[in-house]
Amino acid sequence: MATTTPQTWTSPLAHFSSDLTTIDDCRIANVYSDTDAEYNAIRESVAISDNCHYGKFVVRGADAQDAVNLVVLADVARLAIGRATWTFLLRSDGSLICDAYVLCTGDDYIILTEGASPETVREHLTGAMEEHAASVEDITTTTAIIAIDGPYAWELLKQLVGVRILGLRYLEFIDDQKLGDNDVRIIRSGKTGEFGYQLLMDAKHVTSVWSHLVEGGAELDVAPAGAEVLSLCRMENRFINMHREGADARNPLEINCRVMIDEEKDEFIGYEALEEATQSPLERRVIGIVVEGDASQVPSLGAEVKVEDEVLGRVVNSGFSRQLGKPIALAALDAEVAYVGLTLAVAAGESMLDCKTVSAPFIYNKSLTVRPQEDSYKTRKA
Amino acid sequence: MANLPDSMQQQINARKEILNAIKEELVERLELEFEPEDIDDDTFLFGGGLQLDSIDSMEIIIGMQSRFDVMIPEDDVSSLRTINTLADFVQNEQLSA
Repeated sequence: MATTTPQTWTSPLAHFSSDLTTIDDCRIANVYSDTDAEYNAIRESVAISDNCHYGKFVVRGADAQDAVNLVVLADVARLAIGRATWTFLLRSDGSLICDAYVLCTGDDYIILTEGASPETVREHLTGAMEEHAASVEDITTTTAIIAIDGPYAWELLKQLVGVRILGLRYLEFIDDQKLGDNDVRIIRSGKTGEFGYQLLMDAKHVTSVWSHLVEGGAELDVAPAGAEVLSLCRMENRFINMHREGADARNPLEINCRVMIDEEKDEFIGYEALEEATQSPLERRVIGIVVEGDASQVPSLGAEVKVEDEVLGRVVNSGFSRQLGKPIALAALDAEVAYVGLTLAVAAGESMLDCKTVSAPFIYNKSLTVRPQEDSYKTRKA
Repeated sequence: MANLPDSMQQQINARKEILNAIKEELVERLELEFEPEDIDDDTFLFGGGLQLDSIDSMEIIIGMQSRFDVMIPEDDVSSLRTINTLADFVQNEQLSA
């Protein structure tokens, strides 16, 4: 291993904000200036974000595929070159360490993780390499990631790298794209429900690329978005937050990720526990709830969800949906009652508020109606 | 097992029936590699989740019409997001019929 990530480090983009937070041992922007503007950029135009906090690893060697397959839920043998998958790293008891994008470059596998410190992930990966002809390199601090999200995210990249970006499908990536003088790898991915891309580059060039995006996106009203707003957008669209519902879950089944399990794959860390869980009745399951009535009361983590005096479960994530204008939450409920359309009660402060179980996702995304071949931010409809 | 009011249990049973029928329809019609019970109610249809594509959306619309006698408008993208949003559409149509 050439490098290791220090226990706490600071993103090279952190100086753009005075309000920082620490995620996975990395200090990054929590808020840039105005959360309303940041949210609107994600939902209405284009936002750029600092994703340098992701753990970043390269696995290479003759047994790289087997080694990666030992630590992730997905079967990476199915991955074509230029494709990525979104999956989980599990502990042996089936609980989740973190989520991960795994990219197949043809020469090696790149693993981008969120939800655990790079040190934790590195130790987990290194342990799995021991019986394989494979090595892991921690590139967390030497590689930077900028995310671009929004209904017109594609338009910004089309202007800067060309029309080829419109052909990039979900979870595909392309290498050697130029932003100014800088080489970037572009992955079509995101966790906001809007068009999303992640740009990977040498960390030395990240400030230059960031500035290039800000300048190039002026006519698209590009704005930076921090971790606070991104966390809300993730919940509104029901992407798993590994620091909330993902950390609380005993296995991927509880967070509605059963289809991510490959039925033909039977050798990975956590397999036995997951096999046992899939053959037993599910005890609890996460479902979305919308709080009715008092819009100022956001349920706290751990708040009880009840019907009459019966406790059905607890809140595992919560926030205020800017699009709905209401508090929203995710609750881990008794699986027998985790169904949409029920009127329940959730504790908020000293009171119990009416809430309703709802379908994922919580909101409607503008990106659903934007057509990259025909539309443009300049000529958008209100 | 939670002790629920009868009306709520009936509500859950009705929802389960629709969800199971939707999953069966999608697995059969789209020849998915999953069993209906392997698909969670909040599973997304496109992108991640079932990883369907735009061609499949027409098959889903036809499937819902065939199974439930309801017609999802082609531009109703909000109903074509997850198994649960399909069930919302079916239940709303059944209530308003």
